[in-house]
Amino acid sequence: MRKYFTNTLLLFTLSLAAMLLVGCGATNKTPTHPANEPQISNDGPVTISENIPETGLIDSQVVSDSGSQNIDESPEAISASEQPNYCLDCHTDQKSLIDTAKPEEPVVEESEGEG
Amino acid sequence: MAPLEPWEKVLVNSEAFLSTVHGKIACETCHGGVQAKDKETAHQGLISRPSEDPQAVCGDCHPDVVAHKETNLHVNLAGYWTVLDARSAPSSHAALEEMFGNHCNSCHTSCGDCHVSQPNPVGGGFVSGHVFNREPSMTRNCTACHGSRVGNEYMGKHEDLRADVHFRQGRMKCVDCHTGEAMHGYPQNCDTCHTAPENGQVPPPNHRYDGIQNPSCETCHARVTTGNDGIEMHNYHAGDLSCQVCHSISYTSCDGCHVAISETTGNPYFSTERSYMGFYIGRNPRESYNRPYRYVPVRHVPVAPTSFQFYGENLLSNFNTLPTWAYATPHNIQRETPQTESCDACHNNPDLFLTADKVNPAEMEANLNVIVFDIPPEIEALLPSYTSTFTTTEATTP
Repeated sequence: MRKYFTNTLLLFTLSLAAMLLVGCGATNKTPTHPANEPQISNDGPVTISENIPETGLIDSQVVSDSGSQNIDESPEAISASEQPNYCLDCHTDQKSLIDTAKPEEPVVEESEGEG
Repeated sequence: MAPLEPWEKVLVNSEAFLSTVHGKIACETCHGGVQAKDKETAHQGLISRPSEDPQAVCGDCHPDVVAHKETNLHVNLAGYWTVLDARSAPSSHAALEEMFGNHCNSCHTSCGDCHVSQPNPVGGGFVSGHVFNREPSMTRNCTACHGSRVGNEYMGKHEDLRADVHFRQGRMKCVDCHTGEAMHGYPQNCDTCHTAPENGQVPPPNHRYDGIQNPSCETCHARVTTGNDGIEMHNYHAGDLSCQVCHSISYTSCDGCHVAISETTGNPYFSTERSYMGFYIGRNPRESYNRPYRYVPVRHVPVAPTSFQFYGENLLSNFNTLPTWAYATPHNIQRETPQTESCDACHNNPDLFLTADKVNPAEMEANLNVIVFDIPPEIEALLPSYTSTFTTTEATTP
């Protein structure tokens, strides 16, 4: 009984291996060349196209490596950074604020006692 | 607090401010105005205090805080209205509203008055170069307004009186007790915080001594309430005396505030007749579930029957409805005070109590429920076998 079981298991394993080999063989068909890949001809001199296609993959990798993916490139942020900020130009400049300040009238304190 | 120069009030610290979250927001988003080199043009439509409309400029990011603004006493000034309403008749309300707009409304506080600038009544101006401070500055925000009583008491600015122990030894700031949650107002629905089958509606506080005590001494000094801190008097008096009765010292009272509009400048002004230091234990005028004490320190508030007579005659026709000696929580707490020296420091000692002879006869009726007519007798009369000197085991508060 035990021998019968072992033989069955062995047969099943071999069948499975055969199916896998057949499957792999199907993927190893001769590749079809896309139109923009260099065409190699056995009949004459080899001609290789220099036109390397641009893919989004390369660009995104470069951006990712440089860490610049954190830059806010929304239209609002870009326009805000490009526009001058006259508010800050003045309000961070002590001299500008002094030059443009309206003269303050001295306040006459009329209240008396604890407030 | 030294006043700021005009340029100093509006000088932005670009290095500090622009690196913050609020520094990423375009100026015009909150302040209006237009981008222009010329100041006059740039300031067209300028909103100098944008958080006067907190929903518009703060609400998107801080909805939890802004949602409670209607219950925030700093915003709605409900405490003022509560006492004005109680002391007046409806026929006086129009005149009192005019008075309020001229003299009281400047105490209204916006988000920016605590988190960006000094409050307007003390001149305004950025506290930290327009950086939004999560915690208000104690001296440039809190005591800028609450200075003459609370600030001076807390920081020990009265001659010969020590600063509050929480400041002197703990270096605690106002916000260490007065938390943001309390300052921003309470949610009106209990189940905003407490998820339960109940759907209780809590009316917003109409006064700072309305509702639960927050802050409360017991929050930190929990062992006092459990009676196992080794201090005998905490067992005897924890229920009938507020903490301040034993642990505060002399504080400011004021008399006779009157308001008017100046004939020469057209500006509103006030005058108070008198301010003085003293310590007075009175009967609790606000006895309630949350403030069950029999005795509390009382402070004279400067209202008088004629305080607002500039705006009309007899505007406070129900003056006697509220006492002029008001529930007080002096901010000058000490571990040891004259009251803690012995039982006889208070018992049978009329000097410490608000007795009838200390009350202005014109205000007697208003203070009938505060005046102490029967001074607590000497301790030997109550407990013949008791010694008047406190016996304490090792004190380990808090």
